[in-house]
Amino acid sequence: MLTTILRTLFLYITILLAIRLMGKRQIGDMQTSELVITLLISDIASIPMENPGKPLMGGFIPICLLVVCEILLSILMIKNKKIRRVVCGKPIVVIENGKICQTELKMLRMSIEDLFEQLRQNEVFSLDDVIYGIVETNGKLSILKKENNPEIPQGDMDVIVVSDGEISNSSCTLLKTTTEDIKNTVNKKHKNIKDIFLMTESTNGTVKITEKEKKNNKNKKGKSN
Amino acid sequence: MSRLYSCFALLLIAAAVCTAQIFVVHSAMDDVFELTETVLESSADKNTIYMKTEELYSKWESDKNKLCLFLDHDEIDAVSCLIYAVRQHCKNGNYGLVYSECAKMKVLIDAIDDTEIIKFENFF
Repeated sequence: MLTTILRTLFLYITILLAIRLMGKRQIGDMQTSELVITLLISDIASIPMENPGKPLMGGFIPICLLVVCEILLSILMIKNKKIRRVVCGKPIVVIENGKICQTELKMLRMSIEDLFEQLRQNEVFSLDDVIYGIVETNGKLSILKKENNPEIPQGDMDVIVVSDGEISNSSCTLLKTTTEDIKNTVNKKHKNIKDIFLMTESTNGTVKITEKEKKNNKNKKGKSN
Repeated sequence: MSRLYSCFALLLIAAAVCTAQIFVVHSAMDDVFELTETVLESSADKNTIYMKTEELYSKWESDKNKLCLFLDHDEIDAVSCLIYAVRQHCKNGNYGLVYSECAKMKVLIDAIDDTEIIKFENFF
């Protein structure tokens, strides 16, 4: 029994470290790959924990490898958008100006009941109150509501058009614009697309640009901290 | 960046453990397998059988703790049981049973060693 207790403590610390290495996220915020890895880790850890006849290494090594895979995958996803698209998918607009996009809903295999449940959780009780409803890659529904708050410009939503120097084609479709238009907008502001960290365009046409931090600035910032 | 280093460290740990496993399990199992074969081959000389059985026993006792790190403890217990049985039969002069237990042990050790090899059958 004492062996089981010690093994449990060892595996508990291992899992804590593993989860800590993978990064802090709540279950609801997890991407599919992270959820799969978390489930696998808990399952693998339980085998040597409940059976003292199994060697601890049989649980420890797979956990290490899964954490390594998760970290490498997350690094690859930051570096390469295509990999991120394959692993996580992309946000999908399911409601546009109060109308449900049926094709997208079918593609997500999401029922109307599920959609309305998520709307209600977002304190929306009528489709007419929604300008945009977007299913995020983690499955959550983000909503832009029609509100009477004067501080919130009505019907406007910031859409990411350039992320890390790359133009998003899906955002172009959403904004009913072309990549050429975006390039022209950037050129008018005397900037290079490759130097842009984030460019958002509101549905009312407002453009916000955040440039990439220069390496020297970053180092200085790091040193000052 | 620190995540990448920890990733690298974890990979190193995993590689070290895997190498140690291959080395420890394979060499220990090879030694035990060879000694078992020697016992089976030395059918005429009873003294040699006794000496080899004792050698097998002491070898297994020294390797057992290392093997516990990597092998299923039930498998180790099964081999231990067979070795104790061989030793006891040898002391009692039941050489027929010594051969029989040794033959069983050979198959078991071969099977344990076989599961560690990367091959199609083990993969699925």
